[in-house]
Amino acid sequence: MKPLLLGLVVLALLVFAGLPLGAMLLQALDPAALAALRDPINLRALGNTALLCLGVTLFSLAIGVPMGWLLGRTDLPGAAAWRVLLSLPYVVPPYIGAIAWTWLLNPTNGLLNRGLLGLGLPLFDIYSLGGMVWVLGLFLAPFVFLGTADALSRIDPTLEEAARMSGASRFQVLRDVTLPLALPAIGAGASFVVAFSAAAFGVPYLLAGGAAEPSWVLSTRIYQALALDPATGRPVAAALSLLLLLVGVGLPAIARRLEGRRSFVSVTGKANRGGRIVLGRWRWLAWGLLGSYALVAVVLPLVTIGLTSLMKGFGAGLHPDNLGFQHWTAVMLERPDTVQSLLRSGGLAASAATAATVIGGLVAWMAVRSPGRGSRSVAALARLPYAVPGTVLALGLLLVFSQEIRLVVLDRASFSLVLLDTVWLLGIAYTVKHLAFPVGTIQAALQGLDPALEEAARMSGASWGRSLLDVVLPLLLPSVVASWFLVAMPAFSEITMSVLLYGPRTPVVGTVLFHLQSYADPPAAAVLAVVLTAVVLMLSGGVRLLSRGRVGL
Amino acid sequence: MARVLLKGIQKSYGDNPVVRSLDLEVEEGEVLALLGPSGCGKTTTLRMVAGLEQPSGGEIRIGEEVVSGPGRFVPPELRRLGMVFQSYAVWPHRTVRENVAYPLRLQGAADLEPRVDQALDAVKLSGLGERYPNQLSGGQQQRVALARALVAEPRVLLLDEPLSNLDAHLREQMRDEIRALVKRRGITVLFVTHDQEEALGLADRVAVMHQGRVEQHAAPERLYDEPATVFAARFVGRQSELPLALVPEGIARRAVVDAKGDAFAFRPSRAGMQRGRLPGAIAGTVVSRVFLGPTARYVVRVQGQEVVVDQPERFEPGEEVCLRPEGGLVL
Repeated sequence: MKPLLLGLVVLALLVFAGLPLGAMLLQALDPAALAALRDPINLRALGNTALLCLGVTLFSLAIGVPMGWLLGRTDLPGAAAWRVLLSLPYVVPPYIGAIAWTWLLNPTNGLLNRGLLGLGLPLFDIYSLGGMVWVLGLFLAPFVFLGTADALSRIDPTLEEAARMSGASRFQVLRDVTLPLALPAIGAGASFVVAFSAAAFGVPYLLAGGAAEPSWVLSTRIYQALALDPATGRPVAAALSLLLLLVGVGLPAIARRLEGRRSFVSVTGKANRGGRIVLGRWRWLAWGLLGSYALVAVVLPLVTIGLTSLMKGFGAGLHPDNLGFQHWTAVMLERPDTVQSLLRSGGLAASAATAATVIGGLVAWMAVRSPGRGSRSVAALARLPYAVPGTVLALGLLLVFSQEIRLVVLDRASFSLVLLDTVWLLGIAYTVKHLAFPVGTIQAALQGLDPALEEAARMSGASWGRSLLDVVLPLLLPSVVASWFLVAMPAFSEITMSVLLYGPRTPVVGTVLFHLQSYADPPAAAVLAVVLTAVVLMLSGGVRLLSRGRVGL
Repeated sequence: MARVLLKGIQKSYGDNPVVRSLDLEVEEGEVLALLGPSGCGKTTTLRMVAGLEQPSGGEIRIGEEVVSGPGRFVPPELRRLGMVFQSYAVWPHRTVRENVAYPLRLQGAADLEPRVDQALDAVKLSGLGERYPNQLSGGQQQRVALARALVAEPRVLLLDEPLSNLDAHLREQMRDEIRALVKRRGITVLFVTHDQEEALGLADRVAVMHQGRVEQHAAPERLYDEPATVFAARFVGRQSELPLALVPEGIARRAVVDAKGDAFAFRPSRAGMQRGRLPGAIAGTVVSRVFLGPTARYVVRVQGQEVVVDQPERFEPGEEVCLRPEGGLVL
């Protein structure tokens, strides 16, 4: 059973991850693809993607690093609570933030813009590259800050004390010792931010839509090319995907290589409570700064969405007469497609999470228990789709599985396989994209598990499969359950791949929400956004609870 | 119970041979120790018998059944063996009782409860069945592992460094208990150790392994008194060595099979040390003395070379002595 099962896993990876990426690369060799690379609109999109990456990285570092220092290196009161509150924006899908900010900062009737106008200040147009930087930067800052806080809290405090004894002031210690030691962690955060910003689709798409002169980035251009004309759009999309791969995978890879040369052994393994900087009366300022971020990044968008879902007349202002549950009843009772899409997304997320956990678990087992070039390549292939921008992966799946694949058996029975427009393709996309979570989580847990525990089961008469079920699964249960949630969460709210792969009869929450927001009914979009946010927050709470705080987004 | 036979067993990882053409036989009811330094291939050999590693060549039989050979490999769960791991590998998510019952449960045994009770009783763990492993000491965990390995009446019991994780006092006690238990039941045992005391004290016969081969396969006394090879002589027990040229003709000696012929070795306890000078003996001077209880350990200088001698009588540093070793070897 073991070779058969592991063989199936490898085959599935090759067909659903290897083949699509290969097909995408092949398509990019088309002469039309080369022509697309000379089109000015595409070159502008490349430039915009680069600007977006740069802007988001600078913005999220500017917010995330100081916050990380406050949480990791000072005696800030209530640090644990801040940590949870400040990582919330990362749990809520970024396009929810984008939707909220379009209501707050759209140039004609945004709530905040009206306030700015009243104060005689210039308006901020959210439908711009600046708007995208704003929304994505707020969303990604927690990632930088959690990494920085973690690295800073692990720095051996005697290193800082040694600098003080050498005559350095507090500021000089920070500049010359503390920050350089945390640099690898900050760099890792930055390269994730670059990769994420390059691949982002939902936010750039929503924030390009309302502009007179939309700022297209590579991911939204790919979508556009495919949506306008699926046939001629494919080579163009493939060429742009290649560019996107270069930016979204190439840049972070270079960054990691540079970092790799300077890893510091002095960062100890244990979190250190000693040697923290005493904030004293500065703590009020720290609270003020963290509080304003929490207000802007968490409270304001979520309250806006909540209120919008309750407003009878959209844009009519906030007063009790204008509030009611009519949109909720409309969405939940009168529009079967929204409820159905919620159920469909729920089912897809659960199935994808289960499939990814099983496949990823087996891949992790192979990588840890029978190490070798083969199993290392399989693990690398399983992790690859997460590094590939969703738009690119979806294009690859589209290229492979929209063909009618006919398997003719003995000239008689034939079996044809078209996955496009079915839930299957969505499920496969969600599974493949997020395989990296279970592979990484379970691999780490498995490395800490004595192989003799499994061998003892074999010696007791258990088959390989039985030893996995009776010994490995119960002992790794927290990691396995956490992996499941780590896949289910992003799969439930997925938009980037869904928008390319869903069919007329298979809309999911993300696509319905985008449709409502873009064309039809913003208050209904708000209702759906509230439901979606509630579900991901519950899932995220679940993973924290079940893994006892060890795993969380 | 069954005998174990290894014929021409080989194992290599890539280009790196770990076990080279190894022949070994464990007779029915015999306790055999595989003794050697780390990296000699002894654990790999044990794991090949267990079925946890697949040999690159050769044949393994348990009883009359070929469990591993050209075109044949019986997976570990079908070999009906018991094994105690170096780390014990007691499952932390199951109670003592559930750990021990597991092999019987997999067999679907009808008389599970009384047999588990009996196994726990045999390792003196009655009454601890409902505990979890983290509530047990290291020695108790090992007893759980032993009970689990024996409960299903395996054809052969395999032990991987069974005593290495115990402290010195407990080690002796467990060694005697294990020996008494397996001898009472006539169990065939193959075990692996790098500790010669463990091997000599527990085994009926000892196979000394070095660089993937068996160097000598003999009863403990014979191994100690008549080592067959240079490696066996130096690895088992302590040897005092002198250049052969310093040893007078009249002192008895025997060459090992792979002797280079330049060194003379003897046991420190059989040095035959006396005061003064005697013709035909090795002349030396006492350098230092350490009291060990029943004997004292002396360092004696012989023409610039120092050797160790254990002797019950008292000598003082600086005294002139002569040595007439018995059972000397040429290495």
